[in-house]
Amino acid sequence: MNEYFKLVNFEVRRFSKLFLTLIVAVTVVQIIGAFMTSFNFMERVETTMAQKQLGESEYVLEYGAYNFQNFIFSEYFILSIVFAATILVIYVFFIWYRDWLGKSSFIYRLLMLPTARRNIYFAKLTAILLFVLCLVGVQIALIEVVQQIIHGIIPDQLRVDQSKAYIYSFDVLSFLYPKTPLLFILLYGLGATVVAVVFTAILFERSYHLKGILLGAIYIIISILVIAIPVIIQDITGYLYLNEIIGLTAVTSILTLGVALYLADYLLKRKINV
Amino acid sequence: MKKYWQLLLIVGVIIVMVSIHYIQVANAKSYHFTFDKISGDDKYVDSLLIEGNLEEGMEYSSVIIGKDKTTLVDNFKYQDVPLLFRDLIDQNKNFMRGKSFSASNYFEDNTKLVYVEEPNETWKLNKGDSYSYRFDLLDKVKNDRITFDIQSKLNKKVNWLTVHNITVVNNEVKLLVRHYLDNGDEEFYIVIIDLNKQQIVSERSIETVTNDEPLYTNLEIYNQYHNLGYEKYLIYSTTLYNAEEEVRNIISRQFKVVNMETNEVTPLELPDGLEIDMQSGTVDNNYFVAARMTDTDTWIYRYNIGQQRWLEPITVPHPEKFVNKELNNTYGYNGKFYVLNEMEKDFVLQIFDIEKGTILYEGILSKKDAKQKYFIWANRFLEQTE
Repeated sequence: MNEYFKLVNFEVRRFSKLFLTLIVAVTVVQIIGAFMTSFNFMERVETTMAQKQLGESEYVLEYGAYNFQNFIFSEYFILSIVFAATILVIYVFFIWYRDWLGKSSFIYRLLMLPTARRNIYFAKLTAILLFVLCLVGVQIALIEVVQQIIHGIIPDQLRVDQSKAYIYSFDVLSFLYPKTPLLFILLYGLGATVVAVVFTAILFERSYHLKGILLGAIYIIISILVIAIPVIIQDITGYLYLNEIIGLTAVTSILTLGVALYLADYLLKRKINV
Repeated sequence: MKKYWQLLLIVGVIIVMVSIHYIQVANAKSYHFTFDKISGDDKYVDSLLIEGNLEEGMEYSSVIIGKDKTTLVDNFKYQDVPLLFRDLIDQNKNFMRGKSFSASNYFEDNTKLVYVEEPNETWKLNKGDSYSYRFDLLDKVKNDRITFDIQSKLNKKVNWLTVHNITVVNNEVKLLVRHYLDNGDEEFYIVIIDLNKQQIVSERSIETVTNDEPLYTNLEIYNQYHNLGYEKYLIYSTTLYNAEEEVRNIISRQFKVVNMETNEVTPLELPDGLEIDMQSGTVDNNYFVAARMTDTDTWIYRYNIGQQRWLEPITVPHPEKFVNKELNNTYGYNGKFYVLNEMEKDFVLQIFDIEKGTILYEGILSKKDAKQKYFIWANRFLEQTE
């Protein structure tokens, strides 16, 4: 267990500078976005009010007040989220290939550590999950900051304040922050399963090279199909209730995760030679 | 420990921020409404539940408003399932699998639950082809379930069709079916099925409306959508509009009553000069009730369907200035007629006894801690015991 924590810490430290840069970039873009959408809105309000001789309440009645969706649907917010997600998706591959394709084939040193090889796999998987969840956590704080900026720029009369429950029920936020903690665990558990499947596919490629790419691709397709079995059944028969689809998807995900871990353990032990 | 600070920081951020998020969201979901009596008896709101939607500052929520508690409806278990069907699902989980959530397709009493599925994709059928209704019947006493198909004998080219009402009389299922034809015409059919023999008894057209370019006829039913139980009377109207004008001008409107026991269709005559808000029209048991708002009063009109006569209207002055000019929410249920309207400051709830023609309760319904203007759309009024 101690070895596992050491390896997780090692993986976190390796990515920490880039990860911090990513957080700073997302923060800066979203804060700029909060200022820009607010200033643009106020500029539009002032111009229209002057041109059409409207009061604030008349403007709101005719054109609508500023609400948090103005920010959520802005390019600043959307691009920052897409950018962060892309970096993390790239890192899912990079976390393995860096060790193999780097200058000194660092993977061989990792594999020769006096610990079970599966700990390397678990450590990388944990690190990815921690990075994703940390970004998700930072985004919660960022939304608070953005709201404060908006409150500072747009007066109460021109702004609609929405409850936290409502803000988080919108668009990408509703996906990142499911309604209940249980759904949160299920969603990110599903995400961890998908990452585990990709890791195992990478190990297929590392084990069997060109043939491994084909094996990895087939393995990913089969895994996705297994995870999606409840959704496929529902699409064809309409027989299941939503809570049953969620429950069954949890079961198929756990099954897929189990297979991914077993195959990864097998490949690391038997097929990857130092 | 010191060398793990980055790892610990990340874990700390995750735990703290995600916990704060879910605590904030849970706190943001608490709504509180109060009922402040103006007149009448509080007992009529003690067990009352108002199922509806709340709009507050561009924020929309489904809520169940009660005297003691308002519940926000967002349980993921029931996501996308209308409230009406949640109890049905809880009580008849297997029976309800794969069924549509359209109340018009269900009938329920103490002994049985009947579901009818309309024929699909009728527009693909050719002239002379037949289509079938699928029935699913649950015998609640024996806990027995039967599924059977009933083939229509009309052999008629129908673009599509919908079931508007289903009721069971003496072991006969009676459907009010609306046909949408290729040429834009619409028809109402009464389809009768013998449940014992599982065969069709009759399919009778009771109304046909034609839709030409300049004129448009609308068929409207006034029975409560949420009522799954037995209804002796169905009331519908045919309204002829001028389709060419931007504002739809009514040329004529006729009301008709269908007696589901005798299958007779009789006209319902409106007294001369009677102006009612048609959206408020509703059938409750033996009565057709409708309302009208003036600047100063609420007017309730009652029609005894069995006796075919209009009763004395009920008039109640508004407790606050009426600004909306339109009726917001009306509902007939269990001998009572509920009116919930936006006034100058608050929402005013009035409950009338349909048969006696009296007001049972009048009070203010207001959302405490409302920071912004809010609006309530009531979909259904029901009593807590149900």
